[in-house]
Amino acid sequence: MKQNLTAIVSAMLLLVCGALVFLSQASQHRQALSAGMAAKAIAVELAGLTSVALTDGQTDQALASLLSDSLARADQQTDRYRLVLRDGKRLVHSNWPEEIAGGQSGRPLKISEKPLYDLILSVPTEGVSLTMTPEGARAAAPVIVDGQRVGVVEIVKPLGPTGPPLIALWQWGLLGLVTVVACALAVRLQALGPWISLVLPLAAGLALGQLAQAGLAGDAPVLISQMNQELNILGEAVRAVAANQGLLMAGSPPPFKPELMSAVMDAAGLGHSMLLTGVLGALLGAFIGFGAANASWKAIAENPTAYAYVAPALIGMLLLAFFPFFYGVVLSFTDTTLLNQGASWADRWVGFANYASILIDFNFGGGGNAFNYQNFYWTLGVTIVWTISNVVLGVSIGLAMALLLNIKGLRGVAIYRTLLILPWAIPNYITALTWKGMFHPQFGAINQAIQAFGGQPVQWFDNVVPSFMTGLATNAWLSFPFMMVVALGALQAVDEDMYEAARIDGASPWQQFWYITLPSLRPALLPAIIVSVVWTFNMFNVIYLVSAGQPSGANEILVTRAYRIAFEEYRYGYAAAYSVVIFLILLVYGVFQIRATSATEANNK
Amino acid sequence: MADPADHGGSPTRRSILATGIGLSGMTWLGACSRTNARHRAELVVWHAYRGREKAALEKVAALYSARQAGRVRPVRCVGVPNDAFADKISAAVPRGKGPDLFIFSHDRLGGWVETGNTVAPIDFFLGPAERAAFLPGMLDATTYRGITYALPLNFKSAALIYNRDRIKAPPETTAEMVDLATGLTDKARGRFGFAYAYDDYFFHAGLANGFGGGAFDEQGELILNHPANIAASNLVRRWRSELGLLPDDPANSLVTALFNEKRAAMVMSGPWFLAEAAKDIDVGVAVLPQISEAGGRPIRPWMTVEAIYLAAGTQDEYEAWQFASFLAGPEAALILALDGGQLPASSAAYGDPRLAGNSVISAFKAQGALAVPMPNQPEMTLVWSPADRAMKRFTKMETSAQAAWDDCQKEVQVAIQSLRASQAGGRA
Repeated sequence: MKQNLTAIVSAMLLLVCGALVFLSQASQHRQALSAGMAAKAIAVELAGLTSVALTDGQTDQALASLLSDSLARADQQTDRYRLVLRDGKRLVHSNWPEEIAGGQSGRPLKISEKPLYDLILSVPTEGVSLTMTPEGARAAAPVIVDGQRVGVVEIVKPLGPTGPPLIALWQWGLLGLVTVVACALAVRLQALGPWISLVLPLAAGLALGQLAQAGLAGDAPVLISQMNQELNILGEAVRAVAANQGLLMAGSPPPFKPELMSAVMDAAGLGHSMLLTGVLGALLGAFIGFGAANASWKAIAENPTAYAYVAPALIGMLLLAFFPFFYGVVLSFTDTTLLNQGASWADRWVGFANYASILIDFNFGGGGNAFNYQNFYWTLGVTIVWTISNVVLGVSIGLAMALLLNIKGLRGVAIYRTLLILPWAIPNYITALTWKGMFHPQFGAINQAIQAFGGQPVQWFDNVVPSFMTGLATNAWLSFPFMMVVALGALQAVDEDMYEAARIDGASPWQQFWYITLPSLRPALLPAIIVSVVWTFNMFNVIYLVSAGQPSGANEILVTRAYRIAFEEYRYGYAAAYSVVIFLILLVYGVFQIRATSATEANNK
Repeated sequence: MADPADHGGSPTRRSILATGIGLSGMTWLGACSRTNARHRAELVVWHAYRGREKAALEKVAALYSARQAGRVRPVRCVGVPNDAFADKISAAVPRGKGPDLFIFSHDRLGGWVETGNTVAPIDFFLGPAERAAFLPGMLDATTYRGITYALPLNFKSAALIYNRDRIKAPPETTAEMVDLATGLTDKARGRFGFAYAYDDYFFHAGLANGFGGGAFDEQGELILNHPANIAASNLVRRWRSELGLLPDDPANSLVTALFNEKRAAMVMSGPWFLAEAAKDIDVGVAVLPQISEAGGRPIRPWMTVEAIYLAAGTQDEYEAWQFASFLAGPEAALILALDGGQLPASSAAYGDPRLAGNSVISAFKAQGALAVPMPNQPEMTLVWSPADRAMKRFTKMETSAQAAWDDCQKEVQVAIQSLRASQAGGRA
């Protein structure tokens, strides 16, 4: 009973707190938005007036009075404004009393006023720049003479009142009532309690979202018509002032349209946010209501030391492994690139578009064009062939070496073993660069050896297959020592008596190998092969350094391709999606392998 | 005039979902950056120098700090590993965790400007007298879309580096160079008159620029398959395949090895090559020859300019600027040149007899006057890899230069479009 009540109350508390945050965000946002829209319109009007006046050759003094007269007529003097010109780095006029005392004309900018000058450089030629600051919405519009940005008019508009609440008091009251009824129901019907704590927050989140959306939609036209009224007054004031000076301002300011507000406010987004809070509340309610919270708490309370010991590693994993991983997954649903990193997540969100363009890419070229080696399926094919051939080669050489080293009475085993482990001990990028040098068509050791035996030199990197061989040879060299060490260890553990018994039964050496050696090696070799597949699948260094995917990127594997997308094409979101696809492929392989091997283990028992 | 739809333009277009979820994080980050923005006791400069360049920079910083003691904050130089430097700036500076100034080459400038909040414009401080103090063309490198963002410190470009024992007078035209090289080349025995990494687009660009081509035109349009670029590519094909003058698969390490083993008499490389050249070779440096096939126009290699940037959001831009202009001025430039081995971008520094009398420095300076700053727009990074692939395709006679560059142009254009689409907020 207590559990049910706790579940419902905490779920609803979470929902209400979340909803309050979102609602206050939304009304602040609406307030900032209307101030910003108004500030932009005023800045555009005044900059237009200044442009016309400057083209006409008016003096600074005249410019200053044009601007202050316009604002006085429109009764907009609560806004602060400034006019800055690039030529001579001048502050021509300002109604900020601390900047220019009343009646005084312009002056050169001070060093501390560099941001005002930079504004001229950063404001777009077509349009307005807008930033939100604690003082209010700051809009800057360019002053244009002969197509050049010669200055800027900046308007700082303080934020207006918040406007009516999006969800009325009686609606909140109704929500409270429903919650009380639900609590009573949960107390009476114990079995229903957990389900109520799951459903109620969901329903409440949905309802609050709908109400808030309706509130937004209802208020928008009122707000817009109020803003349009002010804009009209300003437009008329500016034109009247211009006409007094014999200047002609074309047209009138374009009115704000109601759909502008709704388009920008993203009411649906608010609804989704509310629903999301509802889902979170439902999860919390279910977690407590169905007893999971209680069980977890009991587990921690019973073994506090164990959890205390695990905690540092757990936190480390969260920060170093899971956070980057989930960040990458989230990134893969965006079109983040070098150029839009600063934009909000919502603006970059593209859903599954990256995955679609990776997986639905069936453009293989041909038909007059060169073969499209950048295609995902070609690269996947190369990666699979690369992985299989490498593992087969690595295991066979490693096993052969291990069998040779395992010969009884062999002299200098320690020396051979050390020498054979060396390729593994040397950093693999050094080995890779060495092999790259050895494959040089004229000066490389391999072609010189071929020529010494009377062969023709091979242009290793000019064709797909020879170029693939360069990577294969290098990676085989790098990978066999690991397999050799694993196999050697397992071989030394095989009981000598089994071979003796086999010989007595008349088994041939081949039969001994097939029926005794290989089965004994399996428990040791299988895990080694599994990790080796994963390593080879992602063997970046060898591909990148030896063949670099030559010719024309035909020998690229998935990871090197992902690297090029991220750091040569700067498409971070697309590269993240590519990496997630690689991860999923390896995940499927891993699950499949673990099933297969645990089946064999069961057979051995 | 602004479009009506612009009243609710993109800066405020932010869904409430995102704002709401990001709210707590933002407040937290905001609080962090506010505490970080308190007045630091030192002016921090990030750089990736090591060895004697680092020592020279620290000497300049100490000199400046001592001279300005009490008036401005002292300068502290912080070394950052070179390979992580650009990413560190891109990540730290927009979040208010960066230095006050940093030293970096000019080629990343466009990307930082487009990302925003990384580098501060300096036109406000930069008067005509300061502009005139640099060698011609240097400020072009640090200017993006008409706005200057950094002060040039030094430059590097490829030049003709030769073995004085075997080349008495460096060739002045490519025709002379081919004659000279033909006499010295015995490809079967691995001996060459002239070697360079000709299938590397960085080195090839000198020829392409000389013919009047390049990667982008003045409007910033991609022109990889421009006829001038095709002509330049055909010249390399002639040298390599028809005349057999150049080695196969020429990596930079191979070029160095050939020169040091006295198997190559002339190479095209930059000042960094001098440190790798064998000590027993009498090395000469000359301006790259004029292209006989392009009516005697000079080879115009790409130049990278290292510059000092003001990080966006630094607390006191004027104080940062004062150190930047000191560092780029003639006195500091001379210290960086003499102690650090740099080629100064300041023209007054060359008035010193120790620089003016040095034949290697004079040759690189003369080459610098003919060089073109490497394009600094972010699209340039998209060019490298496809251009290198195209170079390999036509130098190995797999296809014609025209076909290779046509394919490359198409490929890079697609990449540029997808990069730009993201910026425009366009959805795929």
